[in-house]
Amino acid sequence: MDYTILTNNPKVNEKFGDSHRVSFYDVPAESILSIAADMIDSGCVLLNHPLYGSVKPNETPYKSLLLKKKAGTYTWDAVSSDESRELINKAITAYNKFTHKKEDTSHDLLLDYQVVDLSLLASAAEAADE
Amino acid sequence: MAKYKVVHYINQFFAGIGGEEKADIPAELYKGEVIGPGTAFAAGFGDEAEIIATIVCGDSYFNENIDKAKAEILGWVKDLAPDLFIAGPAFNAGRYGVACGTIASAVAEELGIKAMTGMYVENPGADMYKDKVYILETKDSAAGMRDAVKKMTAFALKYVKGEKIGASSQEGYMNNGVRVNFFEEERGSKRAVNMLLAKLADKPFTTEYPMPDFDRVAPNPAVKDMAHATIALVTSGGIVVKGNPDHIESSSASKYGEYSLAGVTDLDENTFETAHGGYDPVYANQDADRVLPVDVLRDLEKEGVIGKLHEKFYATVGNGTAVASAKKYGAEIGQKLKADGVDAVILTST
Amino acid sequence: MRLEIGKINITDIRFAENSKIENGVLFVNPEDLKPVVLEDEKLKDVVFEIAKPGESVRITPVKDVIEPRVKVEGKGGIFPGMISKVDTVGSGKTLALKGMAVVTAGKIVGFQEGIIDMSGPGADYTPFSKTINLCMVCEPVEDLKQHDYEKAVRMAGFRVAAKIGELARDIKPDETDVFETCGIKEGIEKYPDLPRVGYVSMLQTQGLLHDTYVYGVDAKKIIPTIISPTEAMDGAIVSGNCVSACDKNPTYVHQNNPVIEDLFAQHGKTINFVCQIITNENVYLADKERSSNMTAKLCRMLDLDGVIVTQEGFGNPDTDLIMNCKKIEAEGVKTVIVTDEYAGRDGKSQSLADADPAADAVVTGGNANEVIILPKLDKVIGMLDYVNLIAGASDKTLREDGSLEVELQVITGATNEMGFGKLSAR
Repeated sequence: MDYTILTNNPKVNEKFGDSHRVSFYDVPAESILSIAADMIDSGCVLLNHPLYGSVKPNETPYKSLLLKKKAGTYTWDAVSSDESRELINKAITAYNKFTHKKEDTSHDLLLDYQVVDLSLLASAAEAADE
Repeated sequence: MAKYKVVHYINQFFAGIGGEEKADIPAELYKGEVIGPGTAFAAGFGDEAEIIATIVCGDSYFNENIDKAKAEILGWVKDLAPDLFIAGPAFNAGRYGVACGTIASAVAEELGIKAMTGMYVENPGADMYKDKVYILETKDSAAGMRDAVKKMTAFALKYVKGEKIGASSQEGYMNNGVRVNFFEEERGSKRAVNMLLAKLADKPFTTEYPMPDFDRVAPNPAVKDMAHATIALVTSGGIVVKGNPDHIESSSASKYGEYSLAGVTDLDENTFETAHGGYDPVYANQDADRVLPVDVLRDLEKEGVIGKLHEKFYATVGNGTAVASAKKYGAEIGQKLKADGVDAVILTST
Repeated sequence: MRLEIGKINITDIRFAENSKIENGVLFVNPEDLKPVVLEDEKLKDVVFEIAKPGESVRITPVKDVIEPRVKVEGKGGIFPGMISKVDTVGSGKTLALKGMAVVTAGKIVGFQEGIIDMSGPGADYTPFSKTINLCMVCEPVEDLKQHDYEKAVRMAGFRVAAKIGELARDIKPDETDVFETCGIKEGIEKYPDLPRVGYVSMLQTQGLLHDTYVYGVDAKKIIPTIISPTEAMDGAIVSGNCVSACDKNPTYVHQNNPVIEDLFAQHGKTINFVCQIITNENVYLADKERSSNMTAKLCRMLDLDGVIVTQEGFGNPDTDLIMNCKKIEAEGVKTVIVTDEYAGRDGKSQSLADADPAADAVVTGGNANEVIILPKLDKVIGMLDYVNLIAGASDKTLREDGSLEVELQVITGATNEMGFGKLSAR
């Protein structure tokens, strides 16, 4: 596994914690985007799209990103560091469009968000592991 | 029901006072008077609205005394407390359009009074103010007055009554960047097919969502051999031969000039000056190298850093000049430079 | 391939002892349908209700909308690879019940969305206020996982639609439309002077509640390929998507794909409609690159002169859309894209998550963030208890007088990105 899963979703941590390198932070989704930006600035690239899924930024509090070190010889990156950074910037812009945040944080609802976020992340991890 | 109160702003020309020779008359308030195009508006308003005052101001006066004129007019409008402020229509008159846009947006922003204007799409006032007030699109000359008044009257009544304002394409105002939903006649797929048929036939079509601000030019590759390159100077800072022989306007320039640099090593106050009306000209007039750095380039030429300075330079005035005009000048200047074998250009502004 | 679609206009649906179709009226006994749903042991119960245009009824949360059909001639059955054998469809004869739909509803996850109002201002925004809807609200067994629940409801909807379609097997259609595509060489010979046009449909394929199936295969696992548009019209593509109600593509819209219909209307006259290219919208960035490369290459290999590209969903699909557009244009193929916008409640934000100057011909389904007030309606089919949780809602969504203040994005089909509706924006 040459990538890191950056997430604030406990279910992702649970599922991938043993088999993958997971950086879990108990922070809002926007902060995950900022942490990803820092990682990109220090030489990582993104593997999945930061606006994965149609669940809107003002709904789900979860964000799970796949990042890896920039490619060396005989490896390749789908997107460069600059492009990764651009994707993060655009995602942050998109987050700012959804001004009406949900207050509801009932346990069941959070679990549903976690499950969907996990599924969307897993679909990227599966592609990365192939 | 009481009629809605409207204050109308026009320039000296549409007030029937005079043309360019009267463009410097100061702002004047005509209380209770309906003047020029106001008559047509009043007819269109019928019983629903009335013009309670007309403000007339010379275009040069407004643009050259902008703070003073604005303050004076805002004071009058505040006292009159109308329901709506209409400026123009200005058609393609550049300074009039800028005045209409400036005063209408000031009325809206500073007094919180509904304000609108009308002008031709290429009027420099359009680009400057279309995201600040509703600007109804008109033809490019006063021959389009009937049509303009009809459009503006209909919009004015809707606006002043507080009715929902639809999308720009429906209401006839210039796209102000605010996305507004509406129902089209045809479903989206049909519109897509029609758009594709037009695109395939190289016929004009209008995208429903113009991509954001892509008016960027990809930089050319770096000049490899500067020591043998011919470098030209082009400016929008208005540097012209003393006396402005081409009469390039101080704002909303309708042309650019081509001037020789043959034998010129330094620009001085006896030979060059600026035609630009948008910045304090004192330092540019003292030493035009401050805007068009001929002296420095002659040094570089001597030192062998560059091959040579091109013997002609091109200049226009960027102040309020419509983007469409600027594009046209740029393309023409580019062609000429290319034909003259210039390798690179330094563009300077103000 | 030559497909005949026989249209049987349904003017009313009534519950009755005997299920049948007579003089345009669908009589249905829910007891006949129940076993079809409950044959899946993951579902405990189902309630059927009828919602008609103009009624004071709100259906929510909507999962999918399906048009009942029956295959009477030619290869394959209804929804091949899903509930029929995986034969190639798109030729022969299929009967469709027009003017009605099967609507699956029910809360699969807490934030499930999708509102269909049969009357009032909301009705103007959803195409499914104009169909007579046979709604089915499924109840799962205890502790059913979200994945299993989604699949169970998705499949139950298809089975019910097929079961109802079966009632039409011997009915003479009110009218018949014929759609015919030809082979590559045949097309060139037949229409030597017409521009060659293709249709690129992007299918949402990202994970739970975000998937689309082609002949039963999860489309995130495909690389872009070509199909005959008649295959899509004949049920080869189905929706497994529950999120982003306004711009997801329900199965009904795949069956009645408006771009395909409108391209067929020009086929042989102004264009030669060559084929449909299906591609996906995966979350993995390398997949996005690969799929858009393949799509552009297919356009080139097929010598297309122009294509229309349609989208599904919010956010990352904008990247696929722009990649496709840019790469297809770079092959010299003229491109029109169909999308929708998230320009914020005030309409002032950047509409798309991605952009490129190559996208100079855009059709938009409108701003999904625009706010609408939906008045209280007399009856709710499904449940309202989730509405404060849906996208485009806010804490005060359910107002004191019972009306809802929501963004258009909660309304099923409001800003459809296949051009199914008339909504637009400037």
